[in-house]
Amino acid sequence: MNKSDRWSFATMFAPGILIYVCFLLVPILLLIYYSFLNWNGVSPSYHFAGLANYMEAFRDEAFRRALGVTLFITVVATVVVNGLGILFAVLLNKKGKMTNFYRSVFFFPLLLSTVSIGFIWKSILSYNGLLNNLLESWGLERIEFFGNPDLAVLTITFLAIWQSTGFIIVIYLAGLQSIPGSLYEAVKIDGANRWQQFRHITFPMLAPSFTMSVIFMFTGSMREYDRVAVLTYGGPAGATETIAYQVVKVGFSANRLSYSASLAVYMLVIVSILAVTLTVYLRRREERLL
Amino acid sequence: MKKWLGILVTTMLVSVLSACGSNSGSEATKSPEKGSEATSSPTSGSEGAQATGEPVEIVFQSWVTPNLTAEYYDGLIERFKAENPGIKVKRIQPPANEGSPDNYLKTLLASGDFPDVVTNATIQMFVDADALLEIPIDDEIQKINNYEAEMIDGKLYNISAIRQPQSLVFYNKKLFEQAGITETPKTWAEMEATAEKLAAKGITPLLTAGDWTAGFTFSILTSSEIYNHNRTWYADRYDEKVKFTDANWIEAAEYYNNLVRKGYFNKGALSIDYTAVEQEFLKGKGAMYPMGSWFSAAEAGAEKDFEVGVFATPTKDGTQYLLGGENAGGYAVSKNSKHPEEALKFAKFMMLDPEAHKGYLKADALFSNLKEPLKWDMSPLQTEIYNLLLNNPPMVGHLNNKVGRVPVAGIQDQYNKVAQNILLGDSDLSKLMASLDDYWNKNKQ
Amino acid sequence: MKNTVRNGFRHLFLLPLSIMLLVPFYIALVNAFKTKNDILASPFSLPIDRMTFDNFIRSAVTPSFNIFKAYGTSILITGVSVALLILITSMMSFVFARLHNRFLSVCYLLLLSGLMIPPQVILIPLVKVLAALGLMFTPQGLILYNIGFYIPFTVFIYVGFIRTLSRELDESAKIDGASQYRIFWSILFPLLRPATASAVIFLCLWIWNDFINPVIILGSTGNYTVTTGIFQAVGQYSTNWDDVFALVVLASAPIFLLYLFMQRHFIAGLTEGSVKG
Repeated sequence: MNKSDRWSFATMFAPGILIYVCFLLVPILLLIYYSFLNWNGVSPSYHFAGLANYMEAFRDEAFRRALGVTLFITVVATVVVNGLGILFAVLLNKKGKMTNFYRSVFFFPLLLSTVSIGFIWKSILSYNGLLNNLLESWGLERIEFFGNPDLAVLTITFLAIWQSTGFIIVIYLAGLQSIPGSLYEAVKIDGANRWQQFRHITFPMLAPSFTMSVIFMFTGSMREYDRVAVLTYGGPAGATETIAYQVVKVGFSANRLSYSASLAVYMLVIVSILAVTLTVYLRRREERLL
Repeated sequence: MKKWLGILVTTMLVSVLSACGSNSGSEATKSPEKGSEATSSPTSGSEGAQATGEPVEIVFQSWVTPNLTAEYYDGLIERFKAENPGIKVKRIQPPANEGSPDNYLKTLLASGDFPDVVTNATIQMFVDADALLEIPIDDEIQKINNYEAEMIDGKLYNISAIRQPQSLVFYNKKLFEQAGITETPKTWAEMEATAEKLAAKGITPLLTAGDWTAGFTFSILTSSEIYNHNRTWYADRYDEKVKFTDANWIEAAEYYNNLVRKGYFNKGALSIDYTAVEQEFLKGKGAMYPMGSWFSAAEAGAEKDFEVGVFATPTKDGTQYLLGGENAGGYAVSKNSKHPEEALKFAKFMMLDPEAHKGYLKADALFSNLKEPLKWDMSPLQTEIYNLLLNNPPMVGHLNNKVGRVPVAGIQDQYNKVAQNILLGDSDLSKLMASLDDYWNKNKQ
Repeated sequence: MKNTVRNGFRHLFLLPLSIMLLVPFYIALVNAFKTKNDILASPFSLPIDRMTFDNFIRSAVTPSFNIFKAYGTSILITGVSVALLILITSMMSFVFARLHNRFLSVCYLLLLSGLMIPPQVILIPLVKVLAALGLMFTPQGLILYNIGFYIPFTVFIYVGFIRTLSRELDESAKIDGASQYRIFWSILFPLLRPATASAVIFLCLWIWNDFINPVIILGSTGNYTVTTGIFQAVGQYSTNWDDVFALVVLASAPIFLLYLFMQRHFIAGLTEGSVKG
């Protein structure tokens, strides 16, 4: 590599990394710094607290509960969305008028902001909402989608699934189209049935799409915030508080920025470890399968 | 070496972008430094602006509710502008689904964009943050009854001249009649008997909701008993003289828990929010609705086929006693305002101008706390509340308001959790009440 | 014959799912044209005989909200952010894909950590940084933040794609004496079109729909995007579903039109661009 190449590469690389450092990395580092203080975020005075925030978070039951809720939403949404994604991608992987229609429709939920979606679903699912009015007019009981703690978590999970499934289907569809048809011809000669074709060719060959979809769903659901903030405010009785929601709530409404920063750092560490482990595992799986 | 050149180029890119930023947005860009310069010489800045004939712009954070609508604020701002042609007022409002503008204001404060005039903020918090201007005690302020009560370390930071009774129970007179109830309950035992009679007729006795309404209902039903006997309870809590797990609190929580266990509250309470429960009551779907005086404003404008009455939340022995806010909230001015005089003028206008004062009181069903109180055209229900107020001793706060002292920040969230847990069927009251102590200990600073 | 049966079976799964995904849109759309009472009385019916445009007329322009101004701001912020992101990150990814050293590996890891941070968590420190640079309350501040925040995602898409392109392309150009800039912009970048298309699609959607960052960074200067604007206009306690639905329709209309208009590119860009990531 000569001098002018080095110069070119440096100038190609520098703007991006500089902006990233300024506007994302520095705030993250500041956040870590705050987590060692005892600061409420507004007061002019603060002092060092060492590891006190981290020790407290370790014993904090509400934080543990939020971690549980977040993991539940993440695991269920990731599994269901990927299962549905593969199933529907296989069903859709055909030419035809309806196919184009389905593809367009599946993408719709991704087009709206969480705020708009929140408003729409709230009007449908709330206790006095459109669906419950309908149920009542049929002589059925109203359902407490947001008022029953277990059901509220499921509702939030359902909406996460609702909003992501279309996108994941599209990813798998792309993966399916990159599988060479010749592979199927070979096993068809061996007399493999549809299920065997799926098991031995389709599913293994989808490995790269699988990796991408799982990581996308995982990191996305671990930072679940918007739906909770718009639909349940973490209630009832804290049942739908996710980690991200709790970080914001503790930092703002309880006025403990430093403590909330320590929760955020825990969150960052947990998500990073899990995401890296998952990525490494899935990449190895790809290598094994392809 | 070459690498550094690359970085230099990038830095230039960023600075060019930011330079554009500060030029085009110079009017709006207020760094805290500039702000504090203005404070050190409060008059010079504003006089300068007026001398050149350019209108001064102040930013006002409003607090929009079903009663205090955007139109209400905009109408008053128009009037203020007409009377003060040199001052422009820009109204902003908090974006989030929260019970107060505090979080929004905190972010604005962190960024140096604290509005010149704020309303409904938690005063203590922003005084601690050194964000509010000390309000000089002049003739106008001295017209306010008991304005000293809101002072912090001998200084006044908010302009408010209101009384807001909160521990009220509104009731549907038609449903009471149907159940053969002639007298409103004064004691806990009477309350339970009333609810039982209503339930026997298949009427939902009590209405509440999820979100902040649960904690609010719990607080007004229980704490009037506690603060009746100790009007500086939160101050004592700071001094560790009292606890939420004391026998009196447990007993009060037991009373609330009983009302829940016997099924006196509306089904699906946690699935609806404040706006929805208000509609339920106005549609006649419940007999009693514990809520603050502001509900009477909604009542006055609602179409319905029954009359609404009101009584104070019962206490154990039947003492009539009201919780609520006196001169709380209201308007405050930023310490870093570039135009403190104009801002103060606007804040005073919004609270003390007779028309604005009456409009504010009427819109949110509040009661004047001026030494010469202004009366507005009250509905029959509001007159009833007014009479309750006249017959009762001065109020103290509750929930997140002052009871001797302001409680730790965010305590209302914990009240919400306690109330919602009870509504969900958790009857382990000593554990639930201990969670309030726990929250208190963790969050006192 | 067998094929028709199988096809019918296919639709048995696909139709209900489509309906599930469409119902909320249907409800928002039909109810935006009804009066409040009609919404409550018959939320699912078509507003054929009693159609009204009052909801739109009432809520599109009010003293505190103007949908056209909001469109302008959103288009500016989204357009500039996405254009700069593509410009900056495509080159950056080229370097990541073609050079390997320890410095770049560390940078790559740092970028990945950015994928995991929920934006709400760094709000206060971010505000401090922007205020220190004098960028608070400016569209520039929001644009720079958008770039910083979406760099990891965009790099993720591009690097995977560039790695699938043969190095022989750049090497032969190199022999002809082309600079790295030329190699990238005239040879590689056109080949990256599928990746660029999918990146543009997602970035446009996310930045257009972003809520919390525009609220905070644009502050009270009077700039509001469509998304923050409708939230302001709908407000905290609203159950005025007539206004809500009308505003939701107005806010989403441009994105839907863009989507319907560009649908083919949308899907093609995604299917070609995303798998390789």
